[in-house]
Amino acid sequence: MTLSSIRRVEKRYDPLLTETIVVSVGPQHPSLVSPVQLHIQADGELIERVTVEQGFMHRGIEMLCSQRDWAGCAALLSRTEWLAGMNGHFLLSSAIEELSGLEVPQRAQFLRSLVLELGRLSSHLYWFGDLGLEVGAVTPVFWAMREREPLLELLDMLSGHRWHGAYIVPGGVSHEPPAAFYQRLRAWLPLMRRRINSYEEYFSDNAIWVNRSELIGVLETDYAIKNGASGPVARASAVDCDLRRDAPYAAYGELSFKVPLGEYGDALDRFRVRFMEMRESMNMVEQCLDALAGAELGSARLVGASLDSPSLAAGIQGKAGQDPPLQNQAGQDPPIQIPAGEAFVSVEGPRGELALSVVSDGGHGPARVHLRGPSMYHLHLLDELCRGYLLADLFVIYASLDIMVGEADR
Amino acid sequence: MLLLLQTYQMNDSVNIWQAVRAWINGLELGGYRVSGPWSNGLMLVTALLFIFLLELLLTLGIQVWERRTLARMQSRWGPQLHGNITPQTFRRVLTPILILLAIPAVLYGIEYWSSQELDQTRTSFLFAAIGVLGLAAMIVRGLALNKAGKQASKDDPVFIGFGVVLVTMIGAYLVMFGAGPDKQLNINLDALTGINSFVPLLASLCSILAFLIYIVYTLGWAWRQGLIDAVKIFFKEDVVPLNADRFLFLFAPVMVYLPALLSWIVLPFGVMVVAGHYTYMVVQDLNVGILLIIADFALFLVAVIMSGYGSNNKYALIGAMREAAMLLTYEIPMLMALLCVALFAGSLNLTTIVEAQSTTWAVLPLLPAFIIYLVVALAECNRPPFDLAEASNELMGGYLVEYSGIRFALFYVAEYANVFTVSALMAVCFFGGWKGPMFLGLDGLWLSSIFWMLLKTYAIMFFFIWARATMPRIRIDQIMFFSWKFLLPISVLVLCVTSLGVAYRHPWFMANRIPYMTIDPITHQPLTSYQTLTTLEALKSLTLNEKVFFWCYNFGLAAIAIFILALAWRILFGKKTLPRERRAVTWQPQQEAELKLNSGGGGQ
Repeated sequence: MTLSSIRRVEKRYDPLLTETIVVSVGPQHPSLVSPVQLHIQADGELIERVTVEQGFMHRGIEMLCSQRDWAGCAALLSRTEWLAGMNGHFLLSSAIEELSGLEVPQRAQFLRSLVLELGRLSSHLYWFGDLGLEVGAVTPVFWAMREREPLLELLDMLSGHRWHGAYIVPGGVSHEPPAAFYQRLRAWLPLMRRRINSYEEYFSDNAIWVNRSELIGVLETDYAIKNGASGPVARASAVDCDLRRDAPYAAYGELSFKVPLGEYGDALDRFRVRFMEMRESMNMVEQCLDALAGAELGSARLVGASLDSPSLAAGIQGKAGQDPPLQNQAGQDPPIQIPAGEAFVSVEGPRGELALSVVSDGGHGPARVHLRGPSMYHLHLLDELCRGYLLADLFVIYASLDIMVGEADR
Repeated sequence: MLLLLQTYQMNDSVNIWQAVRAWINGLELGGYRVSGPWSNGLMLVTALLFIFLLELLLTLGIQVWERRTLARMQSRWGPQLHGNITPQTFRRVLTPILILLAIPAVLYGIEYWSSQELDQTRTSFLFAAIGVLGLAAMIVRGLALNKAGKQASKDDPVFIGFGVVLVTMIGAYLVMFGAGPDKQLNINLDALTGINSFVPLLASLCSILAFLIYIVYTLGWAWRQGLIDAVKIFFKEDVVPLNADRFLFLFAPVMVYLPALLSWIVLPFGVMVVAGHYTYMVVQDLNVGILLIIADFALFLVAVIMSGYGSNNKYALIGAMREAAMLLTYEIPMLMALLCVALFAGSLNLTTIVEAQSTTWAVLPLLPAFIIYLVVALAECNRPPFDLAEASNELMGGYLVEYSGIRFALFYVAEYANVFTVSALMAVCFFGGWKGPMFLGLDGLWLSSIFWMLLKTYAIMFFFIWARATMPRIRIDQIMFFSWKFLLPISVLVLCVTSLGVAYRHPWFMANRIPYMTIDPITHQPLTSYQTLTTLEALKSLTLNEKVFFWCYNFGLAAIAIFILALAWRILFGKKTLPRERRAVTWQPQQEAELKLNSGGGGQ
């Protein structure tokens, strides 16, 4: 089977002068978890054009960020891509570190990598359940939620919040995890490894799923690069890019992992790449756990020594609970002040490249924030990917792109 | 009803109630014997009773089986609010009703106990009294717990009463149908129509209520969800969309519901002994039962197209289009598979088909036809993986999308009724219908035969629900491909193989039930009679042509079997490879001109 056999149907000669219909999918639709409207111009069931109308979830997060202090900004950023909320915290923390020249202790770097990979696992598990629903299989979503639950409990144990835990803070992480966290995580990993295999077999050994996704929604390499695809979507189209390997942050430079690549760029490849990524994530989590168990990473005291700005040190130490907090007259923690300047940081999120550009004017909060998210780009790939396929394929393609509208609309 | 009027008019001296009793009991009345399939009142009443019970189960029970269905119904009908039938209303409304029911029961019971005329009545009264007492104990205990604001546990001693009450249901029914401890071998038809039937009916009513109370007080109020949904949906607003074709839109639910029930007329549920004769429990023992059921499926298609066209909705239209294409496609292999059964049994009559499977279930000789029917049955009642007409993720319910309230429920119940029909037909055609060990003897023949029939049917229904939880959905063009290019040729082949086997009296295809053609000496008409032989005897009785055919056929079948086994071996134990070949990554730029050509179209 070659590329030439991809099912793209030309516009036919139509003696009956039948009209095409415009089917509107969304903003409220069982398949679209978050609101976006797709106007599908279809000839019967054959899709001719897809027009994406977005903005139903626009919250003005960039503007809000420039009106908040740094801590509030982190909370908002973690709510753009909420399935892996720690990415937002990481982005803002590393931007602050870049602005104020902080150095993060080695142990905290490993803890950051650990938490980021747990977030990726959580997000991919959610995607896996959603994928089953899109193709009419009801059971995978129960499996996915079952596997995700202990993961969320672990994150809860770490930071007191299941989704948006502010565990990653400027200068490191907020505190050393309890010993039970390591034990439970180690107990969870082998179980998850076994189950991931069976879940992938459920789909990949299923002729129905393979027929429905093979050579469906083919995203070609050139088109992917031109249109800013990133993450698993780009990697499934054989674009060899991964920020964790190309521009290592946190402790990724010291972890060994493979970057899984697809060949055809179809829905099946995107499915396979994500499952391989989940395996790699679990390998990385194990490596992090091994490194954290060793003694050479230093003490558990994660924040402190190298802070230049006294107000920053006071604020962070106040949050970390090491020193008695300096409180103002209203009884609140003093907001952190960051030196003026510009910073650009990026991270390989579960859906693709998340980048943050911050301008600080030395005040209590950022002067301007701009977020680059992958979902916006992937959402607008839909028109290209769906043309010539059937209406039922649209939902498979949509699920395989793993679009988060909240992050696209912001 | 016509028959009833006829009876009434022919005998002026007979009053209407006598006529009704004659109609139900099939008695001789004023020189006119009410004959025909309706003459057996017990059969009729039992069939109606079971249809009612099945209907109840389908509308209420199955919702609880499938949590997703439940969630979907909730999203359709609104969230379940607290306070529809609270324990308080339960107490206020149902308790007086129960007391009112219990008083006449006690009175009648005392009367018959003292007269001691009928042992049956006395026995059934005993059961009823125990049931009422157990129920009263449970109500008292439940009220006390309710007042204390507690929830009863399953270990609460008062709920032993539940077991007692459950026994009364079985006991009362056994007595009513003449299987009591003191009885002779006949069935008291008066028990159904006379006042005697009141006591066992009351006992069974009590036991049902006791069952509900037990569930409510032990499992909490979760179980009421299905019941309340069924009640609540009657009171929901019936929305007709603007610009809809009103007649088609409003009439489609009726059209979809009627054929689903119509099929049950010809389904045989069991066999019973009435006045020393075996009688089938079937409402109308049609000679063309299979044809009727297939015609009903075609009516279902008409209704779906009506709803899809009448809704004035694109989703509904697309769903109806898919449904039409799919049902037209799958009727043919289904017919082929059922034709194999008809050839095997020598009849289209469902009771004859069951009787033909006295020695062997037809699933063994007709295994390929069974597999075809299994696949087609899933498609026939829109169950996953063939549920793309009402694909909830894509089309939001397809042709159901504009329906609300009781019209939506009619579609939904019709779907499950279709599932039941298809499963029962499968049980009848391939699994021997009601055939099974009759553990209750001749008296309880009706009960044990119904038991086996329902057991088989629900086992198959379980498979349907299992498939829903297992399979992803197939795309419409893949379904068409699968049916026209794979199922249809295979089913024609299977039909050829089976018909040749039957024509040449191959013992395997006849399940050792060898037909003989004789000529009736009086009427000179051909007669077919069957004789069950062992395989060796059957072979001896074949003619030379048939023997030659037998051996040739066996070699051919062995070759096919070896091929299929090898295929299965390869699939199961062979080296697993991806279904597509690996390829070097050579990407070519998109042809812009072609893209423009594609995108520039579209009817303006």
